[in-house]
Amino acid sequence: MADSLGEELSAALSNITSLIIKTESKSERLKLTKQQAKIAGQLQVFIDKVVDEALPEYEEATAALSVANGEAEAAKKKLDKIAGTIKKFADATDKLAALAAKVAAA
Amino acid sequence: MDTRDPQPARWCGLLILPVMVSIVTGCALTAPQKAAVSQFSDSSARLGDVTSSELRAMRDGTVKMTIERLLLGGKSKDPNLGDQASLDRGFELERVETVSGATQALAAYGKSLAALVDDTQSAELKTASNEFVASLGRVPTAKQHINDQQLEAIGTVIQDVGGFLVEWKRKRAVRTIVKESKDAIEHLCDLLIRDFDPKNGWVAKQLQVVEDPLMAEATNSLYDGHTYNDRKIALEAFLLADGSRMRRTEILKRVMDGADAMKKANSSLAQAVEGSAWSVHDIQDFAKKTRSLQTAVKIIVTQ
Repeated sequence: MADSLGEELSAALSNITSLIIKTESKSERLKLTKQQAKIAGQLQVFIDKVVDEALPEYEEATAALSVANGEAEAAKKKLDKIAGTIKKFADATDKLAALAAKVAAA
Repeated sequence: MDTRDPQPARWCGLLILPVMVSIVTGCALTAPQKAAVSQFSDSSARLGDVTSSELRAMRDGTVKMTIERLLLGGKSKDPNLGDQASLDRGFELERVETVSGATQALAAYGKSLAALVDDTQSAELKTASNEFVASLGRVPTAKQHINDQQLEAIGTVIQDVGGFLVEWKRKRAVRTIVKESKDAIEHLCDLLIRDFDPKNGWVAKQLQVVEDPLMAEATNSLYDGHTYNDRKIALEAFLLADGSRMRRTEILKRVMDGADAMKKANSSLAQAVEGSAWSVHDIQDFAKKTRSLQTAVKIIVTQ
């Protein structure tokens, strides 16, 4: 089961930092750096504003981050999984953007 | 002409004096009560002062880390992150001022009590008491936990300390401060417990929002750096982020634990000064937790 959105976002930032440090691939590092900035930006929005946990977008974003974090944990042990992890984080950031739009509109 | 015998009046005078002395002495704080107030007040001042200075360090660290990230990676990769026009993003003055109000109020509360039990000069006592009231005023929600009459009662007993029956007045002042501000102190502790929670509090998340993107840019610069100087710049950025991470993982939990211990110790202190049955355990536990906080800060800052 996924943790709260705040915990998943925090885990995502830490996991991405670990992968950036571990990977030998410059292109992967740059992609992960951009994704991390997006996730940090979303976390900043959620620190500044109250997020309604009852929103369906909240649950979707949390679940997507949980999946991406699971993949990142595996990638830390097997670096060839980083490409797959980047895709999962891309999916999660899309869902976070949808939630952020809902929060901004509220 | 007064024909009454003056002897009984003299005897009365001689008897009243020891009775008065014993009443006044009995109305002073006992040695165990003084010890409890003294240990509690030291811990309270330590928790408040250390947390205030740590908050300032976190704000300074945020500005430095944001500058370093912009130097290494250029323009922010996300518009919600701090940039050249918002270097203190997340630790803006207003936000820090509110939390500082709480930490400074806790410190001033401790200093007021310390001044009362340590026979400090009344000027220092009044300064500490004024600081306590002023700091409470900087925490918007504190007013819901202490009203103007209670603040006035505190001000009045502090003004009155000194002169004849000083020990009795000191005891009365300690009891009044502890009793009238109990709800407000508990509220301030709750605010610190909430804000400094390393898992869910805003302070931890805010530090991480600044820290991890800097780690990423520093790693990119380290791996792409061709010269000793390139790598030195990258590693200095790592050092900044690492210092912040140490604060996040080591200091925040100790502040939260200290605030939680202070709540319990304040209840014990209220019982102690009322003369009810009380346990010194909570006050000692509070002292232990604040010493742990202070030690951790010293280690991290001197690294």
